[in-house]
Amino acid sequence: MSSLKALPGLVLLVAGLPALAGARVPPVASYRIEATWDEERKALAGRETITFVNRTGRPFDDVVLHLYLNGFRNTRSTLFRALPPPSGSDGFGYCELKRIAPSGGEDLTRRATFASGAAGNPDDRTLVRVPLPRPVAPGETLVLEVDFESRLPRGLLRTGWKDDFVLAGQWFPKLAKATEAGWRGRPFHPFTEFFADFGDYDVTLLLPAEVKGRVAVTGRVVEESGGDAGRVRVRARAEDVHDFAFAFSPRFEVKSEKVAPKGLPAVEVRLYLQPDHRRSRERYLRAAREGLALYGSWLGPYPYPILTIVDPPTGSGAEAMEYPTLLTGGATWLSPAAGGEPGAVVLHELAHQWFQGVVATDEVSEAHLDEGLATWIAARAVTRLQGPPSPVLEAFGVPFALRLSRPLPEGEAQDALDQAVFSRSDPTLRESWRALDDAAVRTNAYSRTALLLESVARTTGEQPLTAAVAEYARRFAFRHPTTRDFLDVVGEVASVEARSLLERGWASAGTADFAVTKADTARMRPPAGFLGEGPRRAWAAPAPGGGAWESTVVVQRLGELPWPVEVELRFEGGHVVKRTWDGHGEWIRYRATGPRLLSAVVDPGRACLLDVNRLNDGLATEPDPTAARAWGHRLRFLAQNVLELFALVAALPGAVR
Amino acid sequence: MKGEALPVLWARGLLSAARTWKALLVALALNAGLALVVTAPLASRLHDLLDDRPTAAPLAKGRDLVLEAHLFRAEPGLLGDPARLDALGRGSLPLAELPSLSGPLAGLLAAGLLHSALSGLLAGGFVGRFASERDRGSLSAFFSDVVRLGLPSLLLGLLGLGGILGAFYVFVELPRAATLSPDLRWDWERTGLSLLRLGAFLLAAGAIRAVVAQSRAALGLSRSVNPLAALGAGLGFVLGRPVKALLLEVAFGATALLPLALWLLLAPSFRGGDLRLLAALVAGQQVVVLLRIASRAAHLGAASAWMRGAREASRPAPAKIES
Repeated sequence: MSSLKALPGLVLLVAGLPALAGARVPPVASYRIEATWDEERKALAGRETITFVNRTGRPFDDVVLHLYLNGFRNTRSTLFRALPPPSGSDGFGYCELKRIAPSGGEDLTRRATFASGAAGNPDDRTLVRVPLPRPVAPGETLVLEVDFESRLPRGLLRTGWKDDFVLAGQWFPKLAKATEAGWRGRPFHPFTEFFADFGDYDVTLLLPAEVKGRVAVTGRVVEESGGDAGRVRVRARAEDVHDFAFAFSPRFEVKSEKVAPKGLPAVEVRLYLQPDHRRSRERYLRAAREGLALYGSWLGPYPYPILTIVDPPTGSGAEAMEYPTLLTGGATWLSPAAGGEPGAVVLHELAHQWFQGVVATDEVSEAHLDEGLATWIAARAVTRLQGPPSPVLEAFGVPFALRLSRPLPEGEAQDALDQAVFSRSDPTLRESWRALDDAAVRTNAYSRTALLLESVARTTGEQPLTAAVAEYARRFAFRHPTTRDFLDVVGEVASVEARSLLERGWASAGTADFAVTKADTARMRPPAGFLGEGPRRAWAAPAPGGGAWESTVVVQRLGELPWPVEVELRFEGGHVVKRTWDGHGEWIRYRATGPRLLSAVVDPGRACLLDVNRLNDGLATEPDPTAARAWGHRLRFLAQNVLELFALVAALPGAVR
Repeated sequence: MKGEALPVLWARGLLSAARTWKALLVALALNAGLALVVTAPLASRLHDLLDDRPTAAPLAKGRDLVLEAHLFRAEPGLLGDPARLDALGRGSLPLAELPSLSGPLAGLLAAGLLHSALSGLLAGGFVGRFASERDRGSLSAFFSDVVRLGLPSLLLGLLGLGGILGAFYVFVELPRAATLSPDLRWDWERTGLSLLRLGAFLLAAGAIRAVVAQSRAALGLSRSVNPLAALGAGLGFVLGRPVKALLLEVAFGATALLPLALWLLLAPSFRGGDLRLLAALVAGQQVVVLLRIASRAAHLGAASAWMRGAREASRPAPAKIES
């Protein structure tokens, strides 16, 4: 329920509206691309003109290009070293640089060398370095002509094809990010994403004629001609973006609607739907419609005139991905409404339009800045717009929702707590691509960060944190902030405590675990032993207690992560005493005299969602068997029916898929 | 309506089962006893874990997915090896790995097999009573039939179990990857093929169960203890009337599931407090399980009545007697 209290942040957000629209930076890396799709070979033959404007203060004597599709080239790539290899040639792809030259200059192709980068894999071909005949000075413009051929793999990791559906992502040679420290580019890693400069894209595609009117692009289709001779020519333009993806299928059903949230600019929403997902159409559009309004009020207006949603076929590997102005959803034929899909995935990917579409952080090194923020914000949006979703099980291809509530973000983020307990391999602040495995990247980037943000909001106040996130989105729109920038804004707008909690949570791989380890209560005994001094010294025999009660409570911090927590002591007669502990020490003891102590609970309001064991958060002085009895009762009945099932031999466990 | 019409057979089966109510109570006691033995250690562990913890209170009200995640994180082995349980929950635990389960779930598996075997033995008692003209409700006669026909009935049950496991492997396990293949273009293909897989398995399992039921009936009627002869008779009987045998199976399957479904939909759940409510709920649950056991027995009753009727109908008419 607390996640519904984000409205106070609205005032500050609305104040930030004009600033966002005016914050765009001049283009750094712009592309004009012409490419022809070869259906037979699943390949694009292309020519691109890259216009790079050096807006840093340093000269560049070379260029570094990403050839992302070479991640699928063979099993020696950095990407495929961490993934099971595909079973057939369909699963492989490549991006081949055929020619690269400055405009009107000499051919530099022979000078190009592959740069294995910091991953230390000499066999990786996803980064190429090309020395230039002369450096590009600050403020100077470099125009490069590049011929390339890209073969798409069968759908995997946000790009590829399935049957007649194609999603082309990371398909063209693309400049690494220019920074004051030089080119910032990493080999294509399977568990992290991308980083690039903003620019303008002018892309012309020659595609099969049957996809005319069914081509989804970053930006907008400005021209579509031909259709004869088996080809359609599609020209698309996108401004102020840092990537370009497109998708097509002759079977797409296209639905377009104008969304004009109150007080926000109108956006055209275009949905490209699989015919067998028709029942999800309204859910897609509703999520986009309501998400644009909600995020617009929370984070500032969506800064583009168009939003494209692609509904990929199940199992295409293209589900749930964000590209600038284009996102992919994920629905199935029989998706039950109670499961919340595809609304939840749309709201997550839509949040990415701000984090990292507009606030373009480095997804390769600081994945928590986009995935964590998107997960947290989407969890709040889903709770508000759709209510907590129900878990969905699937039996023999038929999904069904259980009549259970899955509160967000905890319901989908328990893996972060498992990671903290059982692996604790990496703190979130470690560069994402350096993390031990995909579980470490996933949990740190998505779940732990979402839990951390929600915990900070609940501990230090929701309104200040939401206001800080809004200010961060406004201040860094069309820029490339880092974790430090985010923390600075939180410290400035929310509070120093909020910043400190976030920083600590991200810096630690450990757990938060507070436990009440002692809760005793007993009648106060009269003093016993030798009492008094000198001649008045007298022996008092130990006597049974009577009158008031003396209670002792010990709360321990069993995890590494300190967190300010409330401790609630409940006494007979309905008396409740609350104390706040800063959580820095290893333990704290409370002593009380008065009525009998009934129970002690640390963090009764569940502010710290990073606590890995909620059960030990409380201790009662008298046992209450209700919960165990209720579960014992349910388990016995379950066991009786399972035994009867065995007698019937009608079905066996494990037969559900 | 003819005496061998499906509704009549269904009613006769239920009536036959009702007459053996004492034996049904024995079967219920067996079921409840085994369930108690299997769940007692887990229930005791839950008391150890939860009774002192006020933060566990939401668990009394029903499922709490987040709190359950915390419980299993704190006690990963509560139900057994977490990795195998996870695979079991996802439906991806291979059948061959079922014996390697540990913890309470392994206990449940073992108890299930034991219960299945004991039910096979008791089935011998039921078919003996259903074949008998008198003393149908006699518990001592039931147990003497268990002693006489239990073992062949158990063997028939084991053959049936083997057949059903084989059908499961052939129709569910083997084509699993193909029917869930990402190569399939449309979702409905995947769902359709998966349901086809399920349908084929249920059909095969139903047919096997029908053969086992008719073979057990033949065992009781023939008074022979030769399971192979009974199997031959049962198989022949079902092959002669496959559709009706399957419909009878479906009818009693639905009868067995109905009380459970109604209970799950309508009965209140115990959330603590009044122990009299708990007692009433336990009693209601026992009625549900008893009805499920009764419908299983009734299937045998119907099979016996059907087979006896068919045999009597096939006897040659007596020679015409003229006075």
